[in-house]
Amino acid sequence: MQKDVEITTPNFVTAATVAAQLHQILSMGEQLQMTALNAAIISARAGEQGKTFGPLTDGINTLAKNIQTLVLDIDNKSVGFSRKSIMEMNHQRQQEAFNKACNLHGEDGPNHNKISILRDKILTDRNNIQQELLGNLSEMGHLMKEISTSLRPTDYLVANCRIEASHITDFCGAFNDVAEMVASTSKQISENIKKSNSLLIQLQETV
Amino acid sequence: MKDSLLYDNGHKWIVFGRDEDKPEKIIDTNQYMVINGKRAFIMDPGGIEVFPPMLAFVTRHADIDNITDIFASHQDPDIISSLGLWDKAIPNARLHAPWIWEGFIRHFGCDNITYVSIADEGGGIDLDGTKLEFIPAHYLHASGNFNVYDPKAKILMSGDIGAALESAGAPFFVEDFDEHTKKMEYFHRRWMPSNDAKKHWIDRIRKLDIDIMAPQHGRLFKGDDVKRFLDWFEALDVGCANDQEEVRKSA
Repeated sequence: MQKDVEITTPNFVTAATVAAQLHQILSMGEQLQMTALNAAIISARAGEQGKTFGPLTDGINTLAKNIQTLVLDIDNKSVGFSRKSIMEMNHQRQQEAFNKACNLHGEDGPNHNKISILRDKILTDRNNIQQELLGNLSEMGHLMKEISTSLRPTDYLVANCRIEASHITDFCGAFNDVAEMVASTSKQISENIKKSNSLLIQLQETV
Repeated sequence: MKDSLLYDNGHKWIVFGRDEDKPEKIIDTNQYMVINGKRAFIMDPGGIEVFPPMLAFVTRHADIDNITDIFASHQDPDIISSLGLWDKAIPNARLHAPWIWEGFIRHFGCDNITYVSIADEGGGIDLDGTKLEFIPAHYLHASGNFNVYDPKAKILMSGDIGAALESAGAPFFVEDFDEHTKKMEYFHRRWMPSNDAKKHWIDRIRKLDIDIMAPQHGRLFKGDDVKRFLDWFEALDVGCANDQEEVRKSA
């Protein structure tokens, strides 16, 4: 029988949740690359008519690669954040232990000054780590914005795909499928970014 | 860190390890996870240093709330010093670990997680239909020590038995057994204290049907290499710390 313990979610867990959510974008990126490959094959089969699809295929591919690079970067940063967050937690524990030591020792104790200096050093270190954590979060937020920015040309790519498709009667359906796939994958990516962003805001408030 | 799927047929086995970002002087470790439906079970989750990448990798495969159970083969820091952090991440989970180490392991921090003692004769866990057995491996090397055996997947998580000291970039599986023994020999001779315990364990393990033997350090053994390992280990004289020649070599 499991007990049901309610404790505040530590920041390192929230950071891992953000990373796991963003990690799903990697497979969405792979899906986009497959779509680009598919589009290239259809375009080759369409011969002369399909040539106009070349730049669009390249566009989808570039979009996928950019997104994957950014996600991997955030992935590393989130592990770094977890590490620092654990360090911060340890410093908090040390600070509490030194506070207790100071109290037990009393102000008249022979080593009171030494213990106080150590306690203050831990406090300074902890403040520095908190600053680093905020910096790390801001970098992650910046990278997420970059992903959103790189998604902007998607509307253009999808619209062009549909326009080109309407000119090629034989492959119209296939090219429209490509457009649909790009549109739905990009929507999924945006949703993931939105969710991750709200968790990131939560983190910024708790650091 | 890298991860690799070892088994996927109804339930999954995943190995995590080869952490290239870990501090140089910390021994590389393999962590394992079994997922069955909405329950996940982590074996030897590792030390504090590997916790951040472990948490990141584990949550790629399972929702954090679905990690219901963890297992510690013994009390060493590279096995379970991350407990205080898991205790905050998965407070409702249970830790299955040898009864003799409870008072020791709790030093790593265990305010929320429920400690489930494993008796000397062993035990098991039913992960919503997937049954895993805790096989005694006492004195190999800790005085209270267990392996985990999955009869359906035919995988034995062997803890420190079969361990090798490898670089972070090494492949997950043994490719040349004879070559690999060089990386295992000193570890087994020095860390394993008892030929008698070794014999007991080998007799017990030879009765199991094993496709993969998965140690906590170094490479995993597959197929015939499992039997090769058992033969090699049987012939090895362990407990060498008082052998003066060995002491000189390791100095």
